[in-house]
Amino acid sequence: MRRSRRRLFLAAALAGTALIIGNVAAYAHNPQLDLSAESSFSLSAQTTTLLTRVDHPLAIIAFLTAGGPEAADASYLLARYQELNHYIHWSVVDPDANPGEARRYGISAYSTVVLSYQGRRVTSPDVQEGDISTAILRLLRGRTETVCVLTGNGEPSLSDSGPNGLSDLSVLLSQNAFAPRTIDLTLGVAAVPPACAAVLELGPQQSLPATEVAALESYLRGGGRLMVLTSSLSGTDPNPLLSPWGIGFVGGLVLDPARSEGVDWSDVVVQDLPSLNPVDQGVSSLQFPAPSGLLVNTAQGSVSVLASTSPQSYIDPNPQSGSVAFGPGDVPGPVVVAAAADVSRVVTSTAGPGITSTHVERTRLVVVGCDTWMTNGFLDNLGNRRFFANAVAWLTDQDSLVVATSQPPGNRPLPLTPALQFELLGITVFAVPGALISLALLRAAVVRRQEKEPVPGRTRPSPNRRRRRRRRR
Amino acid sequence: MSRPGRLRLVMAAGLAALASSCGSGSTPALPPPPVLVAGRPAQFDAVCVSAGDRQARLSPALVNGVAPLVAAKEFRPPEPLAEYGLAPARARLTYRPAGGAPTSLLVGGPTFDDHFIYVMHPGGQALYTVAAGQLDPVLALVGVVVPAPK
Repeated sequence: MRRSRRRLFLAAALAGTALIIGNVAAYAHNPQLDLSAESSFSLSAQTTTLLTRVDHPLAIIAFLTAGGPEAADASYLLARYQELNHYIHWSVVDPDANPGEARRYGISAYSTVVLSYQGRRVTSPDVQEGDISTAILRLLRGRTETVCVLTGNGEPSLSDSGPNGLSDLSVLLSQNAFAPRTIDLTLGVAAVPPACAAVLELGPQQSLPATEVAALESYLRGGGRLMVLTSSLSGTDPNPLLSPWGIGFVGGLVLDPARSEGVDWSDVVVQDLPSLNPVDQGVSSLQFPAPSGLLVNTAQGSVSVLASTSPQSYIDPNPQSGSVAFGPGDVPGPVVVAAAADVSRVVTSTAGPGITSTHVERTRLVVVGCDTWMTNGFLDNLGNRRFFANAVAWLTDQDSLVVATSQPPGNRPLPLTPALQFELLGITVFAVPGALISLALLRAAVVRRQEKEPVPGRTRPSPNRRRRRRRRR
Repeated sequence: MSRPGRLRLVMAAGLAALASSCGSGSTPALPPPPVLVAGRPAQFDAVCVSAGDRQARLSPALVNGVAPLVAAKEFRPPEPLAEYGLAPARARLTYRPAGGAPTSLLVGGPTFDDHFIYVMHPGGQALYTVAAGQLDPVLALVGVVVPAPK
């Protein structure tokens, strides 16, 4: 009796000790595991990469009502930034309680965030990861690059907020510290302004005038950076512009029975992004509606394939015929739908009598055989947003600094392509039940083997007894 | 107690310790708005406002707007009172209840976005913010202009 009481006392003491040790250990450590579907409580990979570039003290002040839920959310978010980089210091200031400080920073609205870094200061309109990371990006770059968007040939508008417009793209550019500026080379003297860090031709709907093509050719030869998004539906021929750089526009309509969104084979889901080019970084799939094919001369070495369709895909050179099945005249896949060219050359120039200087001129070109994937209706689908942000960053030599996290958490569509449907069927109907049946068979075999092996010191039961035992089981 | 039983007890205690040490993660709720002046309009004989040498008695319609007077926010001022327009105060609001001691409030400047006005009890430690739209017509009686909200 006394012994069992002592044991009970010992168990209670052990339990108490475990309770205390557990609490002390948990108090000292604060491990976190983000199990939310979209890792909503963690900072994105882009922000993590961005923060590795912060190597001086960076102060973040969020002006919010102290003690409110917004302040709690902001504190949580800013603490994540500080966890990733200890140069970051943050505070939440109530502008009502601190009117002098609010005046000093020129605050006129709640939720304004002021960021200071190496004597530079920027403000963010909201305490969201996308806004704060954008502000950090602006601080790190120290300047805003001008990205020129061509108009005059029926391109969608940056101010159009409809599904075919580019207003979301304009916001994305601003968030990445780019200032979008529209230029029309069909008017006046056709020349790309020197302020343009890159030129974007986003889906012309009519052929480019010869003067504009000449201006763009000249711009590219001088180390220009150009993005061309086009499709055969627009009726333009960009080949005079692209072919000197090893990229050709084949045209036609790419159909992919294995990887397409729904039953429309021309709404292609691109999952082969084979390039090591930073444009493909962090992108696993793209949605290109009604794409056209490209031809790349990879022998040049300076050209890389950014995206190609599945081996089951093909180019229908005459989509107006009405037949979508692979037929004579169709070009079998995989089809290149996005490519990049990066050409460097040393240029020697004469600065004066007897004075020569050399510098490297670098032309960069991104071509996509689809002109609707970056519109408001498709920008947020799959990896389209990141792909565009990567492409502009690469064109302007800002490869590693990209913010593509402005998407609010929402639906996470799974592109149910025929190939994926086949995979799902195989896993659910064959793989999982097959594994369970195999396990059951294995166990039965082990039990049977154990039964057959005689136990030392025990006589083998009679066949009748064995039968009875089996029946009981 | 058997060995597995003890082991289970210790494991359960360990898990309970970890569970109890996890933060609740609940969102902090804002405290209820503080009442600066309690009482219905009919309970006051007069409500007056003064600024410098100007003084005015509030009409019943205006009294309805400031009695009772509820603040939006209460805090201890981290900055000098001059930052809040309370050193000196821009106006004084006096409530005279029927058969009771009068209550006074010092009225300061607007908040950073001009949506609220700072208010405090004379000699008090706490500061309050009151909706600018509530005090705007009252202050206008004594020539104190409140800027439109940003």
